[in-house]
Amino acid sequence: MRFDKIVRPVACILSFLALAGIIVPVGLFFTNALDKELMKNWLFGATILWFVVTPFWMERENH
Amino acid sequence: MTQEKVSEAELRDDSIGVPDGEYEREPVPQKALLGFKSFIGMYAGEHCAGTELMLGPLFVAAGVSAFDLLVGLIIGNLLAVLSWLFLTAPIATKMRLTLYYQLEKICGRKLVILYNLANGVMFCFLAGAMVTVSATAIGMWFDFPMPALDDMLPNSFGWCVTALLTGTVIAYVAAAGYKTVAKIANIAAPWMVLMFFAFGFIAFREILNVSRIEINSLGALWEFANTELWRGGEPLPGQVKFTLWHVIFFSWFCNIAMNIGMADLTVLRFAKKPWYAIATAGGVYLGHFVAWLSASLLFALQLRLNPADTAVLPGPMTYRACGIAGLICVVVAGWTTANPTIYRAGLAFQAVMPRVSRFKVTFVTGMIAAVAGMFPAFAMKLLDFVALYGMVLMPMGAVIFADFYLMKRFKLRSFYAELAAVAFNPAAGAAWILTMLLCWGLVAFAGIQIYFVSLPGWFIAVALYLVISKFYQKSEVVHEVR
Repeated sequence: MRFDKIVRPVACILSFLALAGIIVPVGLFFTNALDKELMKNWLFGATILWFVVTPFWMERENH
Repeated sequence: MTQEKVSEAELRDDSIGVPDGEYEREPVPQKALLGFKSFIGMYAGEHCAGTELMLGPLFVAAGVSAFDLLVGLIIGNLLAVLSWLFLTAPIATKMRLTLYYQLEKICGRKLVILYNLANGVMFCFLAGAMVTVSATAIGMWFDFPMPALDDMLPNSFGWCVTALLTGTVIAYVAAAGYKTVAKIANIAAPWMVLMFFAFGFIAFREILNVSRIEINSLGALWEFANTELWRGGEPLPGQVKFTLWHVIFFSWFCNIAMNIGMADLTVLRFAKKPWYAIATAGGVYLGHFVAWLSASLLFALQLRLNPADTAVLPGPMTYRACGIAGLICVVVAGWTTANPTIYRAGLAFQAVMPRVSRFKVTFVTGMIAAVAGMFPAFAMKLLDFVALYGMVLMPMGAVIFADFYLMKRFKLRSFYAELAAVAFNPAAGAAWILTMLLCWGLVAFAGIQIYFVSLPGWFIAVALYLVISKFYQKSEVVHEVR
């Protein structure tokens, strides 16, 4: 119950933030508004975040 | 439970989440049919694989021009979707049987085992190419020479060890924890699709920066694509020149085993309507258009920075663009696609030796893939290998097509192996083997490139199956009368 009400929605939001953490830095780099090294760091952070939080909702939802 | 049952259950479980052990030897009932959304989700994730990171660059290495690549991919992928829509789906939704069960009815059990074996061998080497892809990312951290574009054999001890260790881990996981990796693959899919997009955008921006070009019109963009991205002209040494026709036929036939070869009967038999096969468009245009273009841009950037650096190594290419996240993407893409491939190859082999445990067969199969992964030939010649893979599996699709649509018109019996209770239908076996031999003959002696032979091969297989069935079924009937 607690899982469904708190953990799942939070994990879901964090997953979408992780995806945004890939789209936004790449978009900013594409428009020359972000340094490449900084963009790479963002991508790495977003990747870690995605793999940490997504299993909390995606696989459970599938089950 | 027969081996085919296990195999089909796992394939389905891997794809659209239908419980194990259901409907392998009976038509899918109405209550088990799935909606359109299930197929969109499944196909969208299926075609973004580690091998896309090899195929995109190989197009550039083949000297493809911007027009040929873009138009060729649009047309070729459309033809692939139409093949699913008009060849696979109508049969799948009418019969609602798995590929293997339908083949068993037509060809007999022994011939299905042979087909499984051929499938397993091809899967093994395809998984080898995926091991190579993953190993290029891991090799980034060590100081040894990695394979060049024209390398067929391993070129350093370090590479051999890296590929073998990578392959061993993949083999063990495929044997012991297949379902866990399948879950990781599901989780990774949305992230991986975005990473493929990222590769393209980042490489595009970098090529713009290096070229010091500003694009402010569509004309300038097209000019840039032709002069900096996909320049056309001569291919790199050792590569076949790719024209519009090559791109069309390659992108059409790279999934020929699934559509024209009918492997997706197993998946599409759950579709309520045949038109659900249109969902394949989401997969192929994402994986075989966006992902290939993105990967090709990574290689174009590499050539722009150093024209002498022609090695197609997904690890270094993605690291240059995206850093560690790029490397993770290469490892995950290679690993998650090699995993089911090895698993399926193992199941195919297990059909031949059912007494050996699935773990042992899958692990040994994975180790064969690991050894194959040490040889860069399978990855560097992936364009040719994928075409060969399609050519080998396509004739059985033609046999199913002819059996479904044409047998009655020629006063012949469908599902003859079941009807005559034979374990090997010579008409289907001869159609398969003779078609492969004729296709090989066209490549070896008539100078037709392997990318194109599957089209005439399909008609040859249909004709052979009908003609040989005419004699075989007639003689069987005569025999029965006597």
